Amino acid sequence: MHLVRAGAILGILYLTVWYGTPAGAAACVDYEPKTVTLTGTISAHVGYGPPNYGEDPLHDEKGTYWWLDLDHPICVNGNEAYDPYMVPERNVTSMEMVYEHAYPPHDEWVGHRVSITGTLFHAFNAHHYTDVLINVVEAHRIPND
Amino acid sequence: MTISGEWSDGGDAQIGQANQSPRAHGRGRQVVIQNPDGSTEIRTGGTISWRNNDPGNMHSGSFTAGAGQIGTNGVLAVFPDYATGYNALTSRLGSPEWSDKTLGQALHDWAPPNENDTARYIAAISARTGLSQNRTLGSMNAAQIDSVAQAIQHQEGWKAGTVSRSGAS
Repeated sequence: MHLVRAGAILGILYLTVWYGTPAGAAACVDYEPKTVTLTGTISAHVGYGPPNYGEDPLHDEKGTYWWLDLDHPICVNGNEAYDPYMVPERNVTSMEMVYEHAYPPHDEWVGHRVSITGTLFHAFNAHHYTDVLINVVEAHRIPND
Repeated sequence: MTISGEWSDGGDAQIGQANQSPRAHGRGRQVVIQNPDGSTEIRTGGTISWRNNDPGNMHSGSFTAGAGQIGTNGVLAVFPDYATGYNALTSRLGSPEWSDKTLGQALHDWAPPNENDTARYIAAISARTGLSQNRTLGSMNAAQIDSVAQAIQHQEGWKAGTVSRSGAS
């Protein structure tokens, strides 16, 4: 009986450790103004814009946007006291990249693994195609990819 | 999150409680507003921003809920009338957390440039308002914030469709 109970306790402890600290788990990152560095692969996506955001594909504006497809899903801490749109997000796998200046050459970046440093903000209007977006401050290609 | 394609019905029981205030939801290319008195307003056609009374095409969230939102159309907010939606847009532009952003920075966040067209939206709004991209939103007076909101509404495309009403008035 004691052995059964001890086994059960050990099992619970094992499960607690296993699920509480999964391998590769990282702390959540923050929205702007904090800067974060994330790694992943750049992909290109067509997004429809005004006036009807894809309801009328022939006449709506459209453009190609780059997404950072993260190596591993992340979570983002909420900060709704600062900005009501900054809600917490879990399992973020891709984020639209926002370039303040011209995009770098497509062929040299799209499809390649990169390290991106920037600030995060949450989607708040129809121009935003992922739940979380990153304003790019620095981008580096990861060699041998 | 999907922005293109058919908009899903987006009735939201949390926003616009029945018998207390209007509530709204998207239905294909229509928005249906149900008023507490039992009357219904159906907004058909036009642009999405017009249908939703949301000239900034803002997402539904606690910000828009606090600004008078009565429902959703997909991920977008629906407001009871143009004035409420427009006030939500100016409130967003004039909010304290945005006061240190320059007009250029704010518009990069608002409408991220795409690969082939890096700054047209921003340039169009600067030209329409006459305001420098380097001006912070916090340094603008109410009339200048209003001019930015008007320019955003223009860029988003504000085209009226048809309104049909039924039931009590």
